[in-house]
Amino acid sequence: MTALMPLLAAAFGAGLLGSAHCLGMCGGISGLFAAGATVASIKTQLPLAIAYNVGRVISYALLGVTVALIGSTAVSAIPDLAGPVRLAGGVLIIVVGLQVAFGWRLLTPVEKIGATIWNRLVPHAKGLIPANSVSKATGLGLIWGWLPCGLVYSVLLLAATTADAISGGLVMVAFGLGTMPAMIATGLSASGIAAFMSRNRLGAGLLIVLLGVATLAMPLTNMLENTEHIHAEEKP
Amino acid sequence: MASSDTCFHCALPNPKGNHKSDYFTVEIDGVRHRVCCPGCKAVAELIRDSGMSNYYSMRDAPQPGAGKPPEEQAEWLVFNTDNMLNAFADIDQSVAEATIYAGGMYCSACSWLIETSLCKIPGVLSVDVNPMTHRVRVRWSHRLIGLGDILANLANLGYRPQPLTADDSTRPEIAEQRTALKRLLVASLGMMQVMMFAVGLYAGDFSGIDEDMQHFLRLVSFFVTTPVVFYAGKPFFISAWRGLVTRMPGMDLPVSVAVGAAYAASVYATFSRGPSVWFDSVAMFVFFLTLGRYLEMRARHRSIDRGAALSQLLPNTTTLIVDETRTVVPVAQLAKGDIVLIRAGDPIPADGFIVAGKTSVDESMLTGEAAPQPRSTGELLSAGSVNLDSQIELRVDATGGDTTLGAISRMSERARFARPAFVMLADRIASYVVVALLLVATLVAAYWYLAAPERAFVITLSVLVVTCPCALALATPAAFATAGSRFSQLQLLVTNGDAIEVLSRATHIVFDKTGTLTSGQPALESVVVCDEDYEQEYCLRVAAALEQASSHPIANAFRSDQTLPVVTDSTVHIAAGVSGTVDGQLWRIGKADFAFASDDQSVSNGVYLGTNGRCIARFNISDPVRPDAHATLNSLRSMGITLSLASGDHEQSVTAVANSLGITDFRFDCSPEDKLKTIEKLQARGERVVMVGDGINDAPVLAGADASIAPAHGALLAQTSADVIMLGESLHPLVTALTMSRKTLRIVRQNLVWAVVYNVTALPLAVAGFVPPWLAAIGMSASSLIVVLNSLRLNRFK
Repeated sequence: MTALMPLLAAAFGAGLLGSAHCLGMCGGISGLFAAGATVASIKTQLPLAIAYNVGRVISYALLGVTVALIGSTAVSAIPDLAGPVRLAGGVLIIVVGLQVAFGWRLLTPVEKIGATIWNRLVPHAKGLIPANSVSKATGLGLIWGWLPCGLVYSVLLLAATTADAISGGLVMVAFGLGTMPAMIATGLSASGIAAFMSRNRLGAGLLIVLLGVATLAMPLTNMLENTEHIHAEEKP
Repeated sequence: MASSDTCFHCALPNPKGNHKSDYFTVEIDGVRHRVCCPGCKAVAELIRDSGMSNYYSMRDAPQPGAGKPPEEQAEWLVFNTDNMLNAFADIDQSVAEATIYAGGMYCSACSWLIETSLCKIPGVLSVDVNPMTHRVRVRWSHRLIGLGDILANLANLGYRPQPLTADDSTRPEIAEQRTALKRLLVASLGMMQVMMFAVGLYAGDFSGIDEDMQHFLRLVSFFVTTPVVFYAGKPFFISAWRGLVTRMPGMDLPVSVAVGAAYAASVYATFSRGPSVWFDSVAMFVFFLTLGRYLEMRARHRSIDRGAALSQLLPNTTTLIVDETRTVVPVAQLAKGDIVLIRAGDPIPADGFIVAGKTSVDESMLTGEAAPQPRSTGELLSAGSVNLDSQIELRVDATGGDTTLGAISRMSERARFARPAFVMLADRIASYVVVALLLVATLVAAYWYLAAPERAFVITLSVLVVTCPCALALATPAAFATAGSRFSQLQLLVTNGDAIEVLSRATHIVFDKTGTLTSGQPALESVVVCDEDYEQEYCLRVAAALEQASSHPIANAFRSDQTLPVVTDSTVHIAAGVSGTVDGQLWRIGKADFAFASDDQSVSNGVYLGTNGRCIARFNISDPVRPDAHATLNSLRSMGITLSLASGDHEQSVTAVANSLGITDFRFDCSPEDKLKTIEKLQARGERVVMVGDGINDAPVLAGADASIAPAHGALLAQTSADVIMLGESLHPLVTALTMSRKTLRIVRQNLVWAVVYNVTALPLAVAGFVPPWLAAIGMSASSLIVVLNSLRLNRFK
């Protein structure tokens, strides 16, 4: 439980602070919603935006559960993997932070693989546009969750390091919740938050890096203490 | 078209290098575009395949100047001068910031379009778009590009940009709201983090935890809580200090004491490795307080947003037509009689009459009427409404503060600064409660210090937190603020906050007739010429000429487009008529006894034209009862309100109206003094009297009643001094005003009862030591959130 908290926080932070990029890419989605209504009002848009986002988070959670299952199989197959995987989680958070801060795209090759999955889903998406009903918006969100996206993949790796299906799902849900403010904001075009975040991209990224350092601190101190114990035992 | 350096879809930079693996393209309408990543490619293809490719063509701004006549480009270049920059932008060194009204913006796709394309201009730093108010806020480096370039860009996108001057009355709220949002953000993020660590700490307390791990979690909590306390919680400390200095301690004092003490004790415990920390309670307390304040502030701002929004409705420039040449001039230079050109989608810069064209306008900001109103030549348009359909030419009639909009803004302003007596009373009570609570807390601390010193701090902390009289202090203002905003959405402008309380207890309504129960737009029904020496046509022209001097609604019935004879020494006789010399003859028009000194009561109906004591013509004027008067009065009666009618009009017409509406208590031929006496007599009987009238000639009557409501629109608005103004043509808002007031007071009572019950229950529990600090924080926040949410229910009132 205690070990999971920093991971959830980091995933949430990555979603919240990293979503400035999504705004550029997915901002068009608001156009897709608006196509249904001549005059967009908060009242009609908000339920659609929420439905769409809930759909998206469900997809993330499914992805998270899947990769965490793979992770747990790996960890149980190779017993010594558990410790290093923990560390890898912390390092990954730092890398995610750096990606957000400097706009790196380390996972473009993976995005290409993801694109092939996406291409299978796209035919279903077409029927859902314009997403002018709650069910259509949810459906569109479910599909949108599979959009090839480096940030999602980075956090998925983080979810895999939990090596536990529920924790993995939770990490992805935390990430999805983090992206909600920005994504709902684009849906509604309350662009203040978006602008705020893109202005402070560097700071946001570094905050995530800090979270990563904090996450790393614990397993590292444990490891150091363990080695000290070993040394202490060796002494006499 | 997007250059190959930036993504065609999201406009972020493309990956450097032309290596095949970095290269993603998408084909739209037969043209291949470069995008930055597989994600953008995927979205772009989806948009294309859904048949929405025109999204891109719509969104992509052509280069400035392309396809537009040069004079329209030149129009915007005017704004590139330093003068214009200083007038319309805030400048902070090399960065300028301006708000631009973008006419023709209707959906969120538009705001996306504007944001993306403006951000592409080199030198533009940030763009915020609010599609609801059609405002675009731009920050840019003014040494690189001019304001005119930005405007030209917006114009090329198909919008009609108008730069807005930074209105001083609206700025503080925007700034306040921004900082409040930032504080809330810091508080909520901090709170969530600290809660996560706290879960770890509590779990550790139960199942055992490594001491280093515990120390680590506490340290992290300390780092996260610090900004929550000192940034998000700053307003509480400042206000507590202010309260101390002015010796009017508010609810922020116990809050500050609790937050400060708990934080300090936790920091001490963290570094001295003491038994427990309260970072979670501190963060949660600050978060909930900030949330409550934020919601209350939003409700308060929403009610004045209207006033602020109103003053922003006006454009700053307009197109003036002089001898068929068009020039862009500042609206401030417009004068009565000018002809201006208004394009579709633009706001109307001044009150005026349409001289050419036919269109429909959106007057929702002025009257609350959402449907577009058709308007054609000769009809009056109000400044601040928006021209929807097509280009029109307008002859300016009133500008600036003289417009309807100016009047509404002034009245909103007035309401905003007045704090209702009711709210002030609540503040004073809260202030006493605070002192009492601090005393109680001291006593509790003393008692527990003697009884069980190790628990003294925690219990005192809980007492301070749990009994915070926030709910009590918020109970009234939150409800009044929400009511204020709801009133304005329901076409009611409350100019005096005290009126809400009075209206809720009203027992008797006295109506004026003309312009109140009737539409106030009398029409000439028939003309009877009594003297065969005069032609009917001539009588009408003399009457029209004389009535020009009168502001009485009846004068409107005589209004004529023809050239009228010249009147010399015309005089208005209050409650009688008008006299004046036409063609060398002294004429009188008005009541029978005034026009020709008649004593004959049977001829008292109608307007008479007389000369030399002889009756020349009689004009039958009819002023129809408002279509919804019947239903409205019935609703009022069913609410248990007694109705009277007091009018300055003749017996016959007053009786007719009273009978048709079922009013049994009516008075006619009333002078303003008579009306006032009527009201005072009712008040002496213990009635709470509301006067409903336009108040044009009887301001003292309105002032004499407990509360006054005026139906007003157009020019009348500026003159009325009523507590509540009904915008629009309908009488029904009257019922709304009364039910809404009652509902507001009911909510206030619920809030107060709840706050008192909560504090009375929570205090003994906390004193006895049953409430840990975190539970106290939740209890306190829940109690004040309930108050705020209960108040927000008024927003749903129909």
